[in-house]
Amino acid sequence: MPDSGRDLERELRDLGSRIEYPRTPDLAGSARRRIEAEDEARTRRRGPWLPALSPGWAVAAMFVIVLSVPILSPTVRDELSNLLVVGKGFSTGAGDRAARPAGEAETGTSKATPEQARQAGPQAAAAGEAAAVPESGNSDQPGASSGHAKVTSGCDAEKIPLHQARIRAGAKHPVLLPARSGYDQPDEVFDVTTCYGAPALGLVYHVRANLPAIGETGIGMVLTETSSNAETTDLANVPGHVEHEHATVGGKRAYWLPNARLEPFAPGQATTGNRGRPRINALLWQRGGLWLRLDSRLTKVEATRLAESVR
Amino acid sequence: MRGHETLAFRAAFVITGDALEAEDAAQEAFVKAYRSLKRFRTGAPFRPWLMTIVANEARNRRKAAGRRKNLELRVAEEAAAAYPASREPEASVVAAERRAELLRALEALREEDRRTIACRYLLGLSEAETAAALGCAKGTVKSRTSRALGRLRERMTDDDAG
Repeated sequence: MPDSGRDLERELRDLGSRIEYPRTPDLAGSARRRIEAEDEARTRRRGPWLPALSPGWAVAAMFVIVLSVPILSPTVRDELSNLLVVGKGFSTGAGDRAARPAGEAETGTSKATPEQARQAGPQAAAAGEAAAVPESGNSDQPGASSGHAKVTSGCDAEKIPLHQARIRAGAKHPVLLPARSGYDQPDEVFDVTTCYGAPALGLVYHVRANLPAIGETGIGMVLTETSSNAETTDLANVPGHVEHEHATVGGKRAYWLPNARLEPFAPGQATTGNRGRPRINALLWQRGGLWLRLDSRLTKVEATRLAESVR
Repeated sequence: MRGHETLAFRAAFVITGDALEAEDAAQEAFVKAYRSLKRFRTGAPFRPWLMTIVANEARNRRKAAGRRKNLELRVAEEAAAAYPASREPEASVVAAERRAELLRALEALREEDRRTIACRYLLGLSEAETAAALGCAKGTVKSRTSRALGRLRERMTDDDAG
């Protein structure tokens, strides 16, 4: 038995030098490889031509651009006032991509031709002024039409069948659908990747039981899924710019934008400022690395229930 | 960081009780430390800073695992070189028995006491580093160490008496 506390401590230290620990792995090497891979992936995403801005500087730069453009030019100011997408001061279109929530394609400029407007999907229409007729029918039926419309420069809404969307989404971010009867097949699917600079899909559901129409559009709901989270996280982080409420989906934080004005989903609806835009309720939440946005006229409780079934 | 990887890994092992979890935790901690280097105060000791990150990561993983894996330690095969058989073979045997006895007593302690002793004496962490590793205050480490040593001593006495 050790004679004193000091002896015991000495014996313990001696024991420590003889303990057989598992072999120490090459931590420094594996950490270095991971850091290099992450940096490379980040550079690839950002593009080598863009300077490496810290998030703080990026946000500051974004605000300067957003604020200075309308101030400098009355014409631009008028133009931009027509492009506001949600609530007041939420998105101003060009130069403000980082502040848009998922589900909002790049804002249009009323320059789309009628043909483009006809072909453009609701997702594109929701953000631009080109409005689209949602073609009836199941998105995965053989007859489901495909279209490709350039709504604004850099933002195409491509109508594709659901199975094609699944292929494009790949295994990492599978297409998520509400696990509710009647919701397993959206009526239309649009690839709106170019609107976000990251994989993004817009799933359109026409009016059906317990799914009221958004204005006169005939559309009941649009579910947008994107792995680009900059827009939505910016939304969440700029409460002063957006009238939103906190919500919870599956126990996780979500955002509820009640009675927001979006661009119309239906064709032929002239957009005269906010008056031409139907009001929608939008719910934003995150699941499995994707940001999702559900636009509808559902109540917060109804939308949350539907969102919780999405998988 | 290479100079600290053995201690970082062993500390993570003492906290998680699992070699794979310890490896993941230590690697994640190294990446985080590298990314946070600009926040490291120049002139401050590096090891406690790194150990805090390692310990946080290891404790998070232990919590996330939702189960408490007991820390199992064992003494390496007696290094013959330390006590060459030609010299003092008796001393060698007695010392090995003593260590085995001590380890048994250590393993019989409560998990909290065992981890405290492991950090302070087996790994040789300072009180501050142990506090970071165990997620408690430095004062708590002091009192916990004292209590753990007391219990260990009692166990050793009981064993000797038995």
